[in-house]
Formats: sequence, C-alpha cells, structure tokens
Amino acid sequence: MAARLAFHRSLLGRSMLYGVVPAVLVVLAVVTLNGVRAWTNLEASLKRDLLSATELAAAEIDIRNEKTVRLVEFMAFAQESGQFGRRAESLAMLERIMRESPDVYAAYIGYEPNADGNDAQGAVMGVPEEALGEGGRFYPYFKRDPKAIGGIRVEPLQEVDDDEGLWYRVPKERFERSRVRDAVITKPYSYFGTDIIETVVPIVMEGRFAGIVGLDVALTDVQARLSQIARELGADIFLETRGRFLAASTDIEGEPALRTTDIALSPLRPIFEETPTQGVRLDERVDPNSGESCYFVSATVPTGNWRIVVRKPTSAVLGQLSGLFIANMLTAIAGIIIIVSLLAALSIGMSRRVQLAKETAERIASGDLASDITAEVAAVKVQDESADLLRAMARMNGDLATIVESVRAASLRLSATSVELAANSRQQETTVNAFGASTAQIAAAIREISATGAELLRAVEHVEEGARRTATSATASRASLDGMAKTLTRLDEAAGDIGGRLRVIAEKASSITVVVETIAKVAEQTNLLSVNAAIEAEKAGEAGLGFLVVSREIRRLADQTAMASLDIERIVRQMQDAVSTGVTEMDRFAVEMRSGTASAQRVTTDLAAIIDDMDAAAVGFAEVERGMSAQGIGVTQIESAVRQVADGARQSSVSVAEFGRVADELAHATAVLQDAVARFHLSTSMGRDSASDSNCGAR
Amino acid sequence: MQVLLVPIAGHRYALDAREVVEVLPMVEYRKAGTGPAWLLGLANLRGKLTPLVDLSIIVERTPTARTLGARIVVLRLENDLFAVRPDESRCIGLVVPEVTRLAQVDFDQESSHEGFAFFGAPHLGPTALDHEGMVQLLRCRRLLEGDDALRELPTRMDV
Repeated sequence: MAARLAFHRSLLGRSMLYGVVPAVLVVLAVVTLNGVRAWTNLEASLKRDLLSATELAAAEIDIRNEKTVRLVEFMAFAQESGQFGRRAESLAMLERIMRESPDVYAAYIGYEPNADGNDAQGAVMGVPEEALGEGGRFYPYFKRDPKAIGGIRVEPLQEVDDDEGLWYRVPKERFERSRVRDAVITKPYSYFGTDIIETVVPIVMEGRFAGIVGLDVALTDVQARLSQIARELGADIFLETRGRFLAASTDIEGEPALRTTDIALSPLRPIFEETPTQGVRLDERVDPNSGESCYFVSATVPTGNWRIVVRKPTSAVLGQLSGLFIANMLTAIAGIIIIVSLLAALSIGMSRRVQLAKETAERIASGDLASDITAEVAAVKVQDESADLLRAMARMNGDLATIVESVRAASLRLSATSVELAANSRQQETTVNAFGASTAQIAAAIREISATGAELLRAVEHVEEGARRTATSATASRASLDGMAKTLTRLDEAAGDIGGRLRVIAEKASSITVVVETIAKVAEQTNLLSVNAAIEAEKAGEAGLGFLVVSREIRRLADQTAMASLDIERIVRQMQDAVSTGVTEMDRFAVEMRSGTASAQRVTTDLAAIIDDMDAAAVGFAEVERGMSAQGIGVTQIESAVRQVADGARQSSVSVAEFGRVADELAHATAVLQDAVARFHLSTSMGRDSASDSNCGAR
Repeated sequence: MQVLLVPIAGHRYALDAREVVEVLPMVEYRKAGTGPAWLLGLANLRGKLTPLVDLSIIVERTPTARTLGARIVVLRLENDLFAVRPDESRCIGLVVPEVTRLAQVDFDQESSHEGFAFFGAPHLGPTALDHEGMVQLLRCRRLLEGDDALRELPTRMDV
C-alpha cells in the first residue's frame, strides 16, 4: 500500500482550492458592492420622501387655515352687504356655520356699542338675552358645548386677562391706524380653559370700523390632525408660530403640555433657532432631547405664519439597510456551503473509487486473486470514468481468477487420474492372478450342480403323483356338493309355501275383526234401544212396569254381547300378532336358505377350478423334467468355456505391466504444471465453483 | 224418582226421566255460528229441526268430546228459551258425553243436599248418595224455561 497523499495534493483538496476559494471571493465582492449602493440609494430616497411629505403636510395645514380665513371673510362680507343690524338673521347665520363646519370650535360677531342703533331695544323675538353684551350691544358668541341642547350654546363675548385684546382691540386699532382689513390669525391662547387660535376680520360700514366677525379653532383639533399626519409619515411633527409651540404629535420628555409653550423654554430650542423660517430644508443633527441622531425637516405654512418641523431618527434608515445586508450575507453563505458540499461529495466518491481500483491492481500484481470486489463495484451508482475504471478492474480480477482456477483444477484432475491409472494397473495384475484360481473353483461348483439336478428330477416325479391323487378326490367332492344344492333349493320352496299360507290366515283374521265391529255396533244400538224402552215404560206408569223389566234384560244382554265382542276382538288381535311373527320368521328362514344354496354353488365352482389347476400342473411337471435334462448338457459346455477364460487371463497380465509404466510418466508431467499455477491465491468459493466445472478446466 | 244417569267429566248427574222423550246417538248438525258457546246448532231429529245444547259446557265448562258414546237426550219443554210464542211446547236436544242407564234415586233422604238455588245456580238441583257415590239432579226446566239463569251463563269458553 502506498503512503497517503497530502491533503492539498489529493483530489478533494485540489477541487476545494480551485473551486471554492474563487467562488467565496466573488460572492463577497458582490455582497459588499450591493450593500454600499443600497445604503446610498436608500438614504437619498428617504430624504426625498421626508422632504416631500413635509411639504405636503405644510400645504394641507395651509389649505385648512385658508378655508377658515375665507369663511370669516364671507361672514364679514355678509354683514357689510346688508345683514348688519339684522340681529336675528345674523344669529341664524352663526348657528348655521357652527352646524355645517365641524372644524370650527366657536363663531362670533361683535358690534361697536350701538353701531346699528338697536342697543336700546334689548332682548326681542329671535335675539335672546345671551346674545347681548353691556348696554344691549350685539355681542353673541356661539361655542360647542356637549352639555347644551344640540351641542351648541350662545353666550355674550368676554374679554380675558391674557388675550391682550387680540380678537377685538388689535384688529380695530390695526384698521384705524392703517385701514387694513385683512383677516388676522391670532397666536394661540387660552379662552376660558380652551386653547384656541382665532381668525378675525373687521366689519367696515361706510368707511368706519363697526365691529368684528371671527371663528375659533380649538388646538386639540389641530393636534389630532397633526397626529394623524405623523402616523402616516412615521415621524414626529411640531407646529410653531411666533416663538411658541402650536401643536406636536408627541410630547417631549418633561414637557407634558407642549401646546402653547414658549420654545425658548423647551429643550428643542437650538433646533428651532437654527432652522430657517422660509422654504423647505433638511438637516441631520443630534436631537438635544434624546441624544439620538435625527433628520429634521422644516417648512412654512404661509397662512397664519406657521412653521412645521418633522423629526425622524436616522436609525430608521439604518435598520432597513442592516436587514438587507444580513439577508444578502445569509444567501451568500448558504450558496458557499452548497458549493463546498457538492464538490466534497463528488471528490470523495471519485477518490474512493480510484483508491479501490489502485488497491485491486496492486493485489493482482502481487498474485492475490482471492478478494472479490464485485459487491463494492455494484454499490457504485455513478456513471463516470472512475466508475468505469473500477468496473474494468473488477472484471479483470474475476477473469484472471477464473483462468487460474481452471488451470489449477485441470492439473489436480490430471494428477488424480495418473495416480488412479497406476493403482488400476497394479490391481488388474492381482486380479488376473486371482482369476486363474477362481476358474478351478468354478469347475468344481459346476460338477456339484449337475449332481443336484438329478436329485431334483426325482423329487418332481413324486410331487406329480400326489397332484394326480388330489384331482381325483376333488372330482368326487363336487358330485356330493351338487346333491346338497338341490336339497337346499327344495327346502327354500317349502318355506315360501308356508309363508303364503300364513298370509292367508292373516287376511282371514282381518275379516273376523270387521265382523266383530259389526257385532259391537249392534250391541250399542240394542243398549240405546233398551234405555229408550225404559223411558217409555216409565212414562206408561204401572202399565209399563213389566216392560221396564224386559228392557232392563235387553240392556244386560246387549252389555254381555258388547263384552264378548271385545273378548273376540282381543283374541283375534293376538292371533294376528302370532301369524305376522310367523310370516317374518319364514321370510328370514327363506333368506338364509338362499344364502346357503349360493355358498354350496360357490364351493362347487371352486372345486372345479382346483381340478383344472391340477391338470395344468401335471403338464408343468413334465416340462420341468425336460428342463432338468437340458441343464445337465449346459453344465458340461460351461466347464469347457471356463478353461478357455483362464488361458486369456494369463495373456492380459503381460499388457497390464506396460500400462503401469505409461501412468507413472503422466504423473510426473502433472506435477510440473501444478508448480506453475501455485503462485496465484484464489478465494475458497471460487475454487469450489471451478472444480465442478470440468469442461471449462479442460479448455 | 226415576232418573237418567249422565256422567260428565267424572261427575254423576241425573235427569228426570219424565222430561226425557228419548235418547239418540250423536248426529250431524248445522252449527249456530255466532252465539253462546253452549248453543251448538240445529239438528234433524226424526224429521223435526231441534236446537242442540251442550250440557257439558253448562255444568262443567268443557265441550263434549266427539266420541262414539256421545248421546243426544231429547227433552220436551214448555215455554222454553227458544219459544217464540208463550205456551209453545217443543223439543230440545241436550248433548252429553255418555248415558249410563235409567235408575231409581231418592233425593229426599236425610243424607241428601238441597242444591244451590240459593247461590244463584237454580239448575243445580239436590244431590243424593247411592252405592256408587254422589249423584246430582239437574233441573232442566229451571235451566231452560225462560229463567234468567241461562242467559247469564258464560257465552265464551275462556270466561
């Protein structure tokens, strides 16, 4: 067996080196390139998404503010165009706006004192007390109140301490100072516990400030809307105006009520200070509140001069990217493992088959043909060159073994044959010598046979005489048996006659029974007659007494008749029984008679057969006698033949000695052949198979 | 008195001989069909259609066996059960298993029993002892002459 190869030189090692290492390098390069590109693309697209989403949210809030402004301007326009002073109609309009605009928290109109000249009339039909302010001034404020009927309540407007006159005084002063009558959106403040922002427009009648109309929007509504946008965006949103938080989708730690809080007091101050107040912009910086790296996007809401800031942590991007990277890596690793396993399986199978082929070749070279690798070769299912090589090796091994085995078997048989030949020639010599002695013994035996034949002839003549006597006596027996058979036949006829007579008796007895029944019926009638006669006699009274006696005697007579007929019936029945028993007996006797007759006839037939046999035996005995005479002549002929055989034996002993010498030479040649075959080893099973196949060995 | 001895189911009964017209062997008859079990049907007795009544069913509640010894005892009754008009006199056939003979029995002796009329069985007359044992007189008139007793008798064998 050769020394084992180093791993890097073996089939397996080299396939690993040239197949697996390049594959791993290529996969790693692809994964890395993909990862970098994915990172860049994803980050850019997320930034774009954030920017456009923020712009969208700002636009949506702007549109809502714009809608409110339009509504207030419409209210002012309605007042200026003829509704001013028609208080009931104005109230109806306010109520209608409240009902149809769910975003509005409150709607109100405030007139200058006695601006319409109706302050003095006070509460009238359609204008309740609650709609009036000081001195009958028209000052209604509709607000939502879940406790009120219909969810809406009206009350007079009131100044609040911290509103700084935002909703009345500021628009008034602004108009009088600069004749501006635009809508004013106030900063957020608390109006009787509700955080609101107000949109106010002055009413101008004939160039003079006559009052205001306005709508309140609750910050809770803005907040709810903002939270919804934030959820859709997956980020936090803050709304700011004039240095204050308006609303936020989340609460900052330690600042549970962010709304209306001064930004200067918030931890988010640096962000808002550095963010420009115009346009859309994205910054990446550390959140001062959580210490996390975040994207901050800011945009402006023109209507109301608001600003919107969106915050999204950068880790949201990284999270997606790392997931992608891990998936790529897993796929790559799985691919490498599959390649390595397939290569390893291929190389291991091939190297095993080549190894097996190599070992077989070495064994054959060393002269060992005993091991059988056909089982291992059959287990190999693959169809490649290594498997073909292995199969060829197995076939060669088997063929060589068969050839060597055949030669060996042939030489063995030759050797055995030569030994046998030598032994045979010696044995034959001995036999020839013994044969001479035997012929003398045979001659003596033949003489004895001829003496015995003469004795047998006498015995046969004696037996013939006895047989003739037996035949005579058998003929006599047959005559007496014939006589006996005739007697039996006559007896049978007599028995049949007796049976017939008994049957006649039985028929007569049946007739007697009929007669007896008739007698019994007559007796019965007589009895009945006697009873009726007695009844008649009884009816006849004294005159019938004698008749009564007679009837009684008749009845007695009838009774006796009945009794007698019963007796007769019984006797006849017994007689019938006896007769039928007799008939049965006679029948049985007849059957026995018949069987006796048959037996006698059979014995007669048998005797006739015996007599015939005896006659035939007499003829046979004569033939035996003739045979015996012939035998005597035959014995003499045998004697002369034996003498000639003894002469032949002496001649053959000379040729046997020559035959022995040839056998010895054959044995010598066989020994040389055996030496040549001996260097091959064969398996035991193979040896047996070939030994039985002598034809193959001969070829 | 002179009576006709009639054994039924091992019991000896007696019929007044003066009421008996005659004794006849059993004949073929036309069955009554529906009706009480004791009413067997109509038979032609000496050219006259006569109703047949099974006495065994009435006194022992078991039908008479159809043997050779079975007899019809013909009675003449006045105003009987089958009469259409009052005072009509006609015959009736009592079917019995056997008629023994005519005998003289005294039912007025001290050892006699007066019968079961008191217990709602008026046809069971007095019982007397003679040398063969007890013999009970059957009052056929009470049994059949329009008395309610017979009407109340069972009409079905299984009652």
